[in-house]
Amino acid sequence: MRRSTRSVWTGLLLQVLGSAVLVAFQGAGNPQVTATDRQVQGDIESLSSKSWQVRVSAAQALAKIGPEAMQAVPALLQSTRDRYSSVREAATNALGEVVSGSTGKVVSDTVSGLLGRCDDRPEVRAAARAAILRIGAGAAPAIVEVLRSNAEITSRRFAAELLAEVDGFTVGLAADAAFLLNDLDNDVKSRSAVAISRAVEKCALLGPACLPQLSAIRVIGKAFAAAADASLRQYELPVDVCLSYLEFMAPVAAKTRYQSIAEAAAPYTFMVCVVAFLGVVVILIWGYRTIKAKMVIIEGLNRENLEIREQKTLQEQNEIARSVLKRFVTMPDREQRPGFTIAAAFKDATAVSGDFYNWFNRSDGSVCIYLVDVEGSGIDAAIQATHAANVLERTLTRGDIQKAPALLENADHHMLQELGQPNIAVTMNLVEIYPNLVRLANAGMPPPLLFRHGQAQPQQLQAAGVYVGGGYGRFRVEPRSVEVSVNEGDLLILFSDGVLEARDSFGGLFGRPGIESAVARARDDEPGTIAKNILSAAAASSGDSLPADDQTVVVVRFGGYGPNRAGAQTLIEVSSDESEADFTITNAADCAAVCDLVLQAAVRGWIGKTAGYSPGRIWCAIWEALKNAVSHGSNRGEVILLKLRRSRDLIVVEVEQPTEWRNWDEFLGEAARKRLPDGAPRTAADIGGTAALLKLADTVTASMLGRRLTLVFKRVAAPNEKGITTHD
Amino acid sequence: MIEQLQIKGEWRDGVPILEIDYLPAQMFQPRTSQLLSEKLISQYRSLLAESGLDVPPPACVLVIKATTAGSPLVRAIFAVYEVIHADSGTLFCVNYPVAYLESLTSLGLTALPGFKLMNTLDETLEEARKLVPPIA
Repeated sequence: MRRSTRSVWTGLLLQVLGSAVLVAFQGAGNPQVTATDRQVQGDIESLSSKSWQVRVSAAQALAKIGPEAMQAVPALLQSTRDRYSSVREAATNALGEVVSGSTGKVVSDTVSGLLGRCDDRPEVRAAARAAILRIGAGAAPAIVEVLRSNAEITSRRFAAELLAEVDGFTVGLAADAAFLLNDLDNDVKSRSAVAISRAVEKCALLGPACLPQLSAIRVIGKAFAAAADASLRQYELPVDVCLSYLEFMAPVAAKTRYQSIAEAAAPYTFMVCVVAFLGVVVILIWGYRTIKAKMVIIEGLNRENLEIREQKTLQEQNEIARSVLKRFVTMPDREQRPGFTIAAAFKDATAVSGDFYNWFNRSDGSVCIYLVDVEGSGIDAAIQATHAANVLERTLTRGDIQKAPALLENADHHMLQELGQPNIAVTMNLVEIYPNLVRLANAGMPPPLLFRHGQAQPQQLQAAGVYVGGGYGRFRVEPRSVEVSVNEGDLLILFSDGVLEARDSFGGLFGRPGIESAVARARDDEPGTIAKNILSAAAASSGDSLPADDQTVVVVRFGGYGPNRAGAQTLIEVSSDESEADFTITNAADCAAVCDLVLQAAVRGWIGKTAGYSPGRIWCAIWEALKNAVSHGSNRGEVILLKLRRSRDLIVVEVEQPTEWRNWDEFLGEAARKRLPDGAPRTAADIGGTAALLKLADTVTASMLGRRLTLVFKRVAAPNEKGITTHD
Repeated sequence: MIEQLQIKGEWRDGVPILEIDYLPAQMFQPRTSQLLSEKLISQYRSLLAESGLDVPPPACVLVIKATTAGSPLVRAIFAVYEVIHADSGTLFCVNYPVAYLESLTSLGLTALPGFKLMNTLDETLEEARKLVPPIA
């Protein structure tokens, strides 16, 4: 082992000595090879090292050598493609140092090498920018050449940006680069416009000495005038000013061939001054407007940042408020008792708004429900709600059976005693539920709705009262109560104002009609589904994922909650007159058969009263729409609404399903209609329910997020009938 | 009471006859068109296989016994038509439910070459026999 180690060391030593002798011999044999050359050669070789650290060191060493390391340019360019960004960055820096101040092919090779493939690492791009700027005036023509020949978009944008910064982008070169004003890429176009405009501005500062560039500036002026992009006009202004000035100066210079320009211009001094003054004024105005526009943008960005920060803080506060409520306030989902079932649904607002509810069982078999809304929002409301929930839980469940108004008074008394005079109001619904009786006391909440079995219109349970914590003990308040008997199948709905006050995009309130409609759709479902259905309908109406105020719904169903949904039978309810007919169809196993037998007869009968329509055509379209609503737009037990309306020349059919159909446009929109062939189908894709709808109805549109489909059928004119539009 | 979906096939006078029957609920089921297409084509292919004919028959009859129809059935008919028409055959469709005829015509099936809508099976067989070459 020891012997082998020794032999390795001996071998290495001999190798080093051999190399030294060889180098010394080469140096001695070739007097032109300097020590720097040898170092450069060594560094070039090191650029191919397997170690990336060695490659970085080699590039850095070459950078230090500077222009004397010109022979390393090809190797450095090769290293700008290295897989390590550190090597690429070091090689790019080195190129800047080595090629600095050079001209000719080496510059164009370097610039096109650096710009040819825009690096994906910002530090390497920054190094490339610095390197090219360091190369100096010689880089400008090479950049223009890259823009002329390179199609890679990021490289082109980078190159166009550099044009405005690099030295040596003269007016002559700018005239050559004027083709860029019609570039297909907007970024390249606008960045080039900035560069060209600056080149002209720089030239204009030379005054009459700029005259030799007049033809180049004319070319630039024409290019700006011909550019189709209106946004380039702002960069055209300095060119115009300079051009006007030089156009004026040109004849003067021609006349005074042997005189100084100043002498020749003497008779025109006043006019020259005026033109120059106007030019300066225009440039100043342009500059002021540009700066002002930028200031507006900066102000906007600052404002936006501030809003984002505020929003973030608000979100964090809301998260805290939500976690406080969830930790300390119990909100049960469901309770089944002999004779009734209770279920609830709750939806957080954007900012916590202090809704909560609870119920407790009493020894006589009744249940007491309280639904509370604490005024305000955010952490304050959450903390106040937590206190209120704590007090209510202790006072309302004391054990002695008390009627709702007395419970309300108790709650007020304890809240005042334990929390002191509250800063915010607590509104509350307190309901005693018995299998055949409901007793309600209300302290400022929306009146609950009682849907009697078999009736669509609910009864409002009115029991006006003052909000809790307002001081029932300080001034005389007698909370009223209402008692109603209830029967099997009746539904009691309690809800917070957040549900009533949900607004659609037109500002319309969801309100009581919204609740009634949502209940009608899920009337026979279990209470939890009804509660969720109301919140979903409110959300669908407003189109917001989070409401502006907390939304709470508590539903009590008296008796059992209906038959097994899977066995639900189709129920077609009809309301019809000459001008309109409404049908309510329940999705059930026998739905298709009942629609075929009962609904078809009803629809055909209703249509048949007026000539000019094809009942078969309308029925086939309704059938397709119903097929869609039953198989994709609703679940068993849910209700589909069919409405028929008749005017003089139109029959309008509406089919409304509970489920949204967001991509309806893909199947029924204008593009889908255009795809359909006029005559026979070409492929199976030309046949389907939606294709049939488009073929059968004159127009098909969807609304309410695809929940409502509207089919319009135009009346076909009878022969010799006037005033009616005929159609194919 | 019939099953949810029934498809039968038989040869009569050298003409393959497909017969389809289903309950109305079938028309409201998702993926019905695919199910009907697959079953009808499979039935037609098994009829061909059992016949031992070297060349496909020049005509095929599809009898619809159900009383309801709609786009799923129309799509299935089109799928069968494509198979038969590819072999230069004619598809006769018999007893398509009249109340739902507009869905068939509006989707343009009656404009297809080699597709004929017929009223009764007897008259259809008479027409179809004209296309079948006499047995040598």
